[in-house]
Amino acid sequence: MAQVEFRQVSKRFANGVMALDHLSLEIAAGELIVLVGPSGCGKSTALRLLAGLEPVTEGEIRIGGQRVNEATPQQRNVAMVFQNYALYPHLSVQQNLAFPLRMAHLDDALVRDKVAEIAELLDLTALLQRKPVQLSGGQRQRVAMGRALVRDPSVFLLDEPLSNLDATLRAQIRGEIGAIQKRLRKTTLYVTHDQVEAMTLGDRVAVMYAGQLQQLGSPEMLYLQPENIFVARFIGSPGMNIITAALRQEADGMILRVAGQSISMSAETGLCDAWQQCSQQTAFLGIRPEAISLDKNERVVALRARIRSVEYLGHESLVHFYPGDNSASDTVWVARITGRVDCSKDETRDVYVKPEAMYLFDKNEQFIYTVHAE
Amino acid sequence: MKRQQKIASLLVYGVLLLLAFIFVAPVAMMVVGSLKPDARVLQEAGSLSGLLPHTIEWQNYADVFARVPFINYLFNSLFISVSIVVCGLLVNSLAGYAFSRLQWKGRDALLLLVVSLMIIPLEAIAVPLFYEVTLLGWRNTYLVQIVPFIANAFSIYLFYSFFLGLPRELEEAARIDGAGPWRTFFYIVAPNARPVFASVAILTFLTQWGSFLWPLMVTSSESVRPLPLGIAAFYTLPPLQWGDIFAFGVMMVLPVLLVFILFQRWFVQGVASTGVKG
Repeated sequence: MAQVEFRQVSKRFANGVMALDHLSLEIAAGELIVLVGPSGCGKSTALRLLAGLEPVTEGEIRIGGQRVNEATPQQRNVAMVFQNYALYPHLSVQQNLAFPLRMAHLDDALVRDKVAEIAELLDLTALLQRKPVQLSGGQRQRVAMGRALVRDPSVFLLDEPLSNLDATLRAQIRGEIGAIQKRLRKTTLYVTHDQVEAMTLGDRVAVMYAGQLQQLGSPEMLYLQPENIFVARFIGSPGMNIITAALRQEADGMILRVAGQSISMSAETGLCDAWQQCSQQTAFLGIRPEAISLDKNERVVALRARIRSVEYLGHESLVHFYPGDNSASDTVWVARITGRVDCSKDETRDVYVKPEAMYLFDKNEQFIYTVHAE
Repeated sequence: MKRQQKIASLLVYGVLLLLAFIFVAPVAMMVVGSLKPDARVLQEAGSLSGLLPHTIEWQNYADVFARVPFINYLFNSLFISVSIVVCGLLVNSLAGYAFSRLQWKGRDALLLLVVSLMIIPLEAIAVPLFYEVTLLGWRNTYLVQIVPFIANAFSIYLFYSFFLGLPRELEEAARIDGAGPWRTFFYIVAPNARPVFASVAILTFLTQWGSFLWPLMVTSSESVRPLPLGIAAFYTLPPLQWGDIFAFGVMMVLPVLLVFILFQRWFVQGVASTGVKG
């Protein structure tokens, strides 16, 4: 196990593209950090820089306290699971698992023992003589994990390891990866574009966008206290609804102007204070789809809504609507409602939001306030 | 409609059979002729029944061995062709790998140069090459028949295009697993490029097996000359016996067939994956 550190690491490719922009990130020994973000955000580049597959343009990478910028992949003692598994097609499962050990010139008997041990751990013993082409996707995935784990690496890297699997298998293997990591406590960097994987697996999650780290924190923290609009939209399924808003001091107290409506916010003193402190007129209001209700409960703010469509998913429904009275608006919000919903297209009605579920972001899309953050 | 289809397919098969006959007949005539007494070879040449051996006699084969140092020619051809194939596979595959995977200055320009070399035939450079090997004092040796043909632009290009299509992750996985560039190439890349190795091996072997002009220019001693020069000399050796010449021809073609049959499976894969005509 080793601690990993990115210190102001940048990567610029030969074509001038800045794939990674001054990334600073510390992974504690034995911790699992998930790098998550849309494609092209630099998460895989960060992983490849750590593995030693690409040279760093600027900054420093440390493994176990040692600078490794100039070290070859083998000197770094990292192991990696690739998105397409990268199993050697001409070698059997056994030979695939033994390959890193053979490259380290280990004794034959030791190689056999280690391969048997890892095959046992990953339930691969019956498949040892097969070639990769004779394995199912899930089995290939396990062989790739085995090949990475067999030589006891100090850092374990996974590059979208589940993206080639179907949904059921993905959930199952996700659980297995989590269990193995908890058991072996290897320092792990896991890259994915799937926020569900990130939220379920990571001790901490690093959200990346445009080569920059947007936020690093526990899954719960990312969900409850997103630092900017990108994180708010990216984490959660569906992501947070965002709309431009304005908050003004008027005769009858603080008024939130959103989608052509005025909502009194006088009761929300914390919000009003935060707003006044950042002294801005316009900003963004964010509300999570699961915080919107079609029923009037206690302490709710009503918002006019014109229904666009309803998706019934069995245990819940996703209601897509245009917020406000302005029918020309192209902003579409989603509400996540338990069970079946009885409303029709173009119906205009009120939807309800608890004030504490509201998030405010400034015009630079940075977080200002929510009740959760207090 | 059905009747028309039948006639059409009959016509197609008729044409195909005719073409097959045109291609197979000379080979069949050679094989059959090599098994006939010399007198009957020309006598039956004009008739279709001449394509049947009637009796099998091995005398022509015995004659070949008695009249020329056939084993010597065969050894020379095998030694030269196999040496070129083995060295060529190593050199050209590594060159193709360097072009497709390694980053170095001037790579693209050099690749363009190599590709453009493919269109230059041996005949165009034979004379300067002749001067060069004369200066080196290589004439009348095996070396002069092997070294100039090891590096081959077409083979390099075949390897290059195959390696381009090989998933990069395999090599990256090998590097992470602790293999250096050489072991990555020999343990991971080469075993997965067997089809293209087979294609290059067969194409090189066929070309070199039939090589005539260059050996004629640079050798004068029978002790280093290959089979094509042997058969040419055999033509001019009186008395002219067609049965013997056919027997020589059959024995010259056999190793080629053998190589093709041995590597055929990979060769077909190689041609399919590199998009090159065989």
